Amino acid sequence: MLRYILRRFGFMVLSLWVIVTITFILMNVVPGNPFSSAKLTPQVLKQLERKYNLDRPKWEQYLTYLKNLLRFDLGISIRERGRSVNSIIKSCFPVSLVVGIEALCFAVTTGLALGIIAALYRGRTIDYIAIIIAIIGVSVPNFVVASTLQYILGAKLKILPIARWEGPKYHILPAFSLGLGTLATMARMMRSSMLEVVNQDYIRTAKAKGLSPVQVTWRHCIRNAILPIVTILGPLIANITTGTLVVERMFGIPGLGRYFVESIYNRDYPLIMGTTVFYAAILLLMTFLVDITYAIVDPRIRLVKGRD
Amino acid sequence: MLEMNLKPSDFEPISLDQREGEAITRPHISYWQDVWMRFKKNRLALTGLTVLAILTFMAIIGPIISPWDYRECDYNHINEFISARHWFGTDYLGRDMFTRLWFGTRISIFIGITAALLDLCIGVVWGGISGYFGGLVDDIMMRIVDILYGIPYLLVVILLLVVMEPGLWTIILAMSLTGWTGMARLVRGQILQLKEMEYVLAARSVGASPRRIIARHLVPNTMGVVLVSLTMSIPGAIFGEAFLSFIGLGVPMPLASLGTLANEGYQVLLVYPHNVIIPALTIILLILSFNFVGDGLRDALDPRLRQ
Amino acid sequence: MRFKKWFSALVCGLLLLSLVAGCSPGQPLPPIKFLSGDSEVAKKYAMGLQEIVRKGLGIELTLENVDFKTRLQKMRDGDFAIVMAGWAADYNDPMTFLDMWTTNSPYNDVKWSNKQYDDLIAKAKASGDQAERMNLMAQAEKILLEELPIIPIYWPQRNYAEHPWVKGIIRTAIGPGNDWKFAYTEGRPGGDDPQHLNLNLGEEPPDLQSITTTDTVSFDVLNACLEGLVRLGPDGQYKQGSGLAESWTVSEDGTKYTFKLKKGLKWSDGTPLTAHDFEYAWKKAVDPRTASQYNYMLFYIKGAEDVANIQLPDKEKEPAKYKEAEAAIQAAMDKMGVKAVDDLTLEVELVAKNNIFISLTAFPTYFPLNQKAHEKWGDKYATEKDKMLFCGPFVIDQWEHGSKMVLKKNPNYWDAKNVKLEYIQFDMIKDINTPISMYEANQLDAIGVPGDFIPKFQKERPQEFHQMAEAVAWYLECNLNHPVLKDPKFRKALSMAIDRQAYCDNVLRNYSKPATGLTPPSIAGKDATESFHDKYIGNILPATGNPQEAQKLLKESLKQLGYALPKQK
Repeated sequence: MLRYILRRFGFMVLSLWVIVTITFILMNVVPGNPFSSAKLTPQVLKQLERKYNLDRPKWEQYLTYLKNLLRFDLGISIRERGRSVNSIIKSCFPVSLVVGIEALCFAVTTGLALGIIAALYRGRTIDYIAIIIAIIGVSVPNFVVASTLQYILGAKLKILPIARWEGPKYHILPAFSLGLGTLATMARMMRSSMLEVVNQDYIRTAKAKGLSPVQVTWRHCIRNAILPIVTILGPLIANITTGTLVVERMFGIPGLGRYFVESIYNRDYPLIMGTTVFYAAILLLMTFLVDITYAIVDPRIRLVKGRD
Repeated sequence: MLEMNLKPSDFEPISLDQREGEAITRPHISYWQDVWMRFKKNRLALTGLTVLAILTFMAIIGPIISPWDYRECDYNHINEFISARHWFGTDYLGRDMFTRLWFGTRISIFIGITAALLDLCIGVVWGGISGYFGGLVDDIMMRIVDILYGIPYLLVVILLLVVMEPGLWTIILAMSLTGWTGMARLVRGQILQLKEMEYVLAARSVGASPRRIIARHLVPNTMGVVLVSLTMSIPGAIFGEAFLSFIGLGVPMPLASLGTLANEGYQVLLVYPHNVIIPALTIILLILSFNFVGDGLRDALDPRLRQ
Repeated sequence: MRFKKWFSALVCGLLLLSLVAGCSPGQPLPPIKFLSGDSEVAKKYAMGLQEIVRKGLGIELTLENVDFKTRLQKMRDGDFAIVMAGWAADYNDPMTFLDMWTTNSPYNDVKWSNKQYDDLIAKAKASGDQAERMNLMAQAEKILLEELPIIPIYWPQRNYAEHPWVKGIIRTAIGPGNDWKFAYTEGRPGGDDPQHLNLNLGEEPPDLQSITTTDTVSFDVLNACLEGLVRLGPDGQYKQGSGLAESWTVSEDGTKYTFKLKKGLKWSDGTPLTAHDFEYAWKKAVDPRTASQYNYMLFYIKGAEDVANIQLPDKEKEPAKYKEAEAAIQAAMDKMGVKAVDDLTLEVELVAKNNIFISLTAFPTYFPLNQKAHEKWGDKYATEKDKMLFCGPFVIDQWEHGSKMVLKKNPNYWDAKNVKLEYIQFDMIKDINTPISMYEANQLDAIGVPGDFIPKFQKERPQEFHQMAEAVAWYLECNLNHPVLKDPKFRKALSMAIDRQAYCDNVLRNYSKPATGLTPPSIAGKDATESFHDKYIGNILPATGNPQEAQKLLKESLKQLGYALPKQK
């Protein structure tokens, strides 16, 4: 097990390096530069490139970046002049994390519950209702849902605040809008996975042994059915906790999500690299954790083959 | 006393062809016939298929039967509600929503299905191989997936836009470039679980090749989860396309897709909600029917339910 | 597969069409690629224009919408035919729209070159007589409108809504868009106390360092937190004593200004604000080490351009050369025409007589900067609320990046007794629908109103809906190397074919005005009482288009160029 973990960790670092390299190349190949704007003279462009050391050879910039990365120094944003990428991540990530975790809690619990209920009542009205709820959740763009809720619950009924980021009350709508898509995915996956498991021999065995239906469902069905969910949960967590552009913009949430898109729009090189490295690190960590969780959830999977 | 006329030949053993004895007497049904039979029994799946057929049909003839062109601006009737002149109203440029809706449905169905199928093909092969062989092969293949997933998608897309001309295939390519990784991960997870099953052991012990085991035993058994995921990735592709239109790599203007229609309608959501409700309803209908068909297929394809 | 067939049928059809077109004399028309932005609004405007051109000229523009940076790159590479661009006035004079189209101007995106035009602009710049300047500039603009390297399309209008209790916000067409110094509320539901405003900034201000900032969001915030030598008054005038300068005198030849600062001016931390702070800021703004994009705003000052033109080598690789350059910068700065004679007196020497200089000193690049504070925080200056100093009516009290900013009344401000607001709270919400919901729930006091929402506001809140003219022009920039657009006749045909009135009324629907010239009518002529456009230019471009004339010109142009006339659909 320890050997496996060490090896996986080695791979993680290697993957991160590959991602950094590819992103660095892509970023420099994509047309445009951080400074291009309507009112920029060639002379000032030169000065700016000088200031940010962008006039040096690309390989030199790359090596400098790697060197700084080893010291966890992600550089300084060009667009938001003077703010270090580290400080941007430090101030924005916790916000995204909070919204993300709230959204995930809502999505996973409700989604799994819907999925399990739908599977247990397969083919009955309750099943169809659960599916339809799930599908509406995934097929209406979340900006439409959020906007409609803002208008009805916020502007007209005045039950919830429309936007801004202050007390716990302000978390409800963003977390709901953010979690809706995930909820649907959870519900659908769980339902199908449950149905798969219900037909397995060990369920029949368990029933034959005289276990109560609740115990069969809880100890055997759900535990086995949850495996495919765990697989997709890794990237999902990485995605949702690093923030989303749409929800952040609509509710004025100071999260990290908008930087992923805006840094690219602005060709803010240090910020592109910074957000990518950060996201990739979380993503790799999550997949790593998922693989470990696998071993715990499903004893049938052996991580290292018996032969070696 | 009863006289019995017995001949010596009567005492010879009846010879029965061994094969005949084992023959199955019911009429032969091919695998796909069987699938279709079971699919037909599922009312919901049939409804889904019907709706899908209607939507496809409308997507083809809708723009033809409409008196309006999909891009023509009727300036005296901008943002108009449903009327006799414009059956589904008009958008912010006075374009006929009926025509644009079916035009958009046409493109969205095409993009959604193509992209999802592409994801499926690459994802299943990749995940299957990776999951079955495990060990170093698995490690390397899955790390590649991680890397692809970690690279900022938008950069790739903008680059594609510069390298290729904007168009449907560019969009599909852009979406499939990283879209298949989810499927690969999913299939791998399933295979990891399934390859420890007794029937795989049995197949291996009679000397089946890995290719045969993956193709005949493992992949068909993952179909349930895969199909469901596929029906989920079609809306994913439709919204992926909408996002791409948003950043400039979507369907070339002034073409429409369901995603761009929803995006356009969103601009006037609080004043002319029908402009977003109509495309959104179509998307829901489309996705619902895809899902019901997917569920029906899943049950029909399940070898354990074969009668 | 059905779809593939459908598409291949379409392709075949197009091929056939082009074959048919090939039979008529001349080659088929090359594609005319119209580059536009990637926002929903930009796409809508582009599609609208495509339809208008199709109707007016029978030519199909090929639309391509890409992100901003890619668009700039494509423009630089010449990979386009036409592109929509806009220019906002930096100061209230036609020159801000005209001098950018001279041969050597770095802002001349289309690389148009006309000797006569250059001469006229040069003459107008050198002239000290307002009436003569106007005539020269009018002649220049008429040449531009004849040659049409750029085709003016519309002059936008600002549409906004504010609740009836909001009073005294000054909205200007030039420079910072909003000034909240004189704002207050009267009759807010729930009481006016404490006096405050809730507004939406739309996004995080990217750069609050006055000498480097370039965007209007930062301008608005800076104009509230800092102040220049003058400040635009409620009457739209730049008056003596309206800003940090008590008064000023101008030398006879109009090139030397002497500003006297108010006594007892203080920064927000209590340190005295002196003329040296202006000298430091203006020199820092043109310093190549600062690399300010708006440094050209200071090029009216003698010697400023010389400082900016010094090449800076790589500090780490060529330290010796870098030292030399630094010395050269210092020497050039010493020669620059701005000098603090004492704490209260600032002497400025201009390159030439200039009638707009006073209004320029209200521009953020001209705001003062405290040397000690600026050097202390270095590159981090103005990145957090406690890493900068303020000298305007307000100070930044809270700044949660990307979410919220609260400005508080500045007790150290010289005119604090006339500032009525206790605080202003800004949200940073970048969405169309959310701010409107918030406005309706009285959570925002004023908002901008997008075109499609105007009818709703006019109907439901006619008293709260307001409009004003912007000093902005939107025009099509033409690629002068394009096989057909290189022909002035073709450009004229295109210009004639565009029904600008219909474009404004049906596509923009935000009360924008059809551009019948380049300089918007809100720009003054020889004095504030007259409009340059109305008085000297008039409606040269047809507001509603002229399809017959356009067709005639198109035929002539295409015949001359050897292209076939496109088929009318």
